[in-house]
Amino acid sequence: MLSCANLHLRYPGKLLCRDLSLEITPGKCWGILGQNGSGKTTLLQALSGLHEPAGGSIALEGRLLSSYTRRQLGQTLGVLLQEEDSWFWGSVLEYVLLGRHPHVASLFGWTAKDEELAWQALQKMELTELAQRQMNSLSGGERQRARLAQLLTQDAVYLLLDEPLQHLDLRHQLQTMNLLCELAAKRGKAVLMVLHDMLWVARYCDQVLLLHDQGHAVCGAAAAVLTRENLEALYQCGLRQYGAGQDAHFIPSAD
Amino acid sequence: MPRLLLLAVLLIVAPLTLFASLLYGSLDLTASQVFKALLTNTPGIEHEVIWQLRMPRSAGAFICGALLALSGTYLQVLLRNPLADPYILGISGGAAVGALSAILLGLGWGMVNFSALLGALAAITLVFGLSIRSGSWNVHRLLLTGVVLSAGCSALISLLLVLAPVPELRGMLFWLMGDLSHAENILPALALLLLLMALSQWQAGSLNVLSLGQLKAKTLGVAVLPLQTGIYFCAALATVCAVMLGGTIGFVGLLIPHLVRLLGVADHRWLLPMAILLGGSFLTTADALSRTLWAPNQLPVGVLTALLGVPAMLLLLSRKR
Repeated sequence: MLSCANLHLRYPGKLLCRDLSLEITPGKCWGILGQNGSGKTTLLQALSGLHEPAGGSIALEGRLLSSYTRRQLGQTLGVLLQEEDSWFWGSVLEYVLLGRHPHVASLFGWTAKDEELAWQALQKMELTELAQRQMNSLSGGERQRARLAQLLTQDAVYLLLDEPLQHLDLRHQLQTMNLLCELAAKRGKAVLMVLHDMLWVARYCDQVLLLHDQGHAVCGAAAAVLTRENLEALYQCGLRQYGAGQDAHFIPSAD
Repeated sequence: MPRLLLLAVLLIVAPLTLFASLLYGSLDLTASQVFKALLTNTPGIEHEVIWQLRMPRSAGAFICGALLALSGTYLQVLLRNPLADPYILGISGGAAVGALSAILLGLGWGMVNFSALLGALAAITLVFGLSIRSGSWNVHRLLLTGVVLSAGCSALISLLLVLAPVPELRGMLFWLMGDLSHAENILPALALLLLLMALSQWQAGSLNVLSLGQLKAKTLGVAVLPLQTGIYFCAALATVCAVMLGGTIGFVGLLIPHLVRLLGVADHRWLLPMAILLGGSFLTTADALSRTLWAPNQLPVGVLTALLGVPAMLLLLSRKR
């Protein structure tokens, strides 16, 4: 279990999170929603050990996150950053294989298992035919799929994804969400993702965290949290709701 | 070209360039005479020339080129900047100020080397102290600090050259442009090169990941701060050692990693050993040419590295899509 207790997060001059407590367990799919600058990325980075909390504690499998080595964290936590430098020196396959770095045991290259996992991930992301292409020659959407393929190759239990659907067309958004939720439901992964589209959150997430300004947060089962009132308070604009439950979607009202 | 084939070619070229550099000099020697001098312990003029004169210089050139190429590769990863070379952090500038001051004071070659070492160590300490903040590297600050220190050292070098009496000026200019004629005690440099080769091969996978950026590297299990600190000091040591062997020889550290990349090899597990082999072979060839093209006079080896390296680089760049 990845958990935080009484977590305080600060960014220079701003309180982002106050007394936040979460328990992220394998098998569940979490969605995080919030306005720009509300601390979604900072929270994800804190949970993956990339940002020092201002208070509270974060634990992984009952041990403080800070007691793990980077390599141990890399074996357990897979992180998709929101932004990444676009330049890479090699092919798509070479890029995806770097996901195995936390597990690498040999100085002389990748094992057959590493390569097998990479090819499986490429196949899932429909990148097999682009495997030998230079990473720098990919379009934005193809690059995002390669980043997701690298994350899958890392084969971590906890997947923390910051805007996994950015740059993807509708079909690939659907495929990616199906894949991530399948990983949670059938392969025992814990998936925590920052999203902006409430439709995907309603349809795919078991648990939802709404991050408001000034460190206030609402957290709970998707059906209970994803209400028009909560979302209007979150985004500070009027919304109309169509459908309910997993089919619920919200559209800004004209006024 | 497949990586394994390219590595095999470089493994063959390296001893060939070393052997060729032993052939040429003021005393004409045949290949069989060189072989005999290398493989037997028969006293004679050939044996003396090979083991006392040419081997230290040729091996020194090879080690110096390998160290510069290794340092350039390290710094291009650390700074994530393709323009990085071993001299960008002001280490060679510090060494040059130390060495030229010693030459100006008329001190012996041993003291010149010692002063160069002191100058380089002062630069390394200064850049390191100013670049690390709150337990983490700021790569931009590192680069800026290095560039500013280099500029300061350049000004001091100009001042020293202006103040220097004419008889000392030639030696100072040769030191600045690279001069391998004083490369004698090469065993410590060889030991350092072998140590750095082992370290670089051990960490090559992490360098691949670090080239994706610091945050990304952390998510993929790399302890970024210790790795960056290690790269900095390894690059600094390699640069200091190369500068003490042959002065500030330009272009090798910048061009060689790019030449290997332009040949299609960018994975550091292959790039590092290939850069070491190519850097060594390249400088050995340049040094052999510098002492034979205009014999009995010698050209500064730095001029040859530029004359050979720049067209090769431009040719490869023009062929690259």
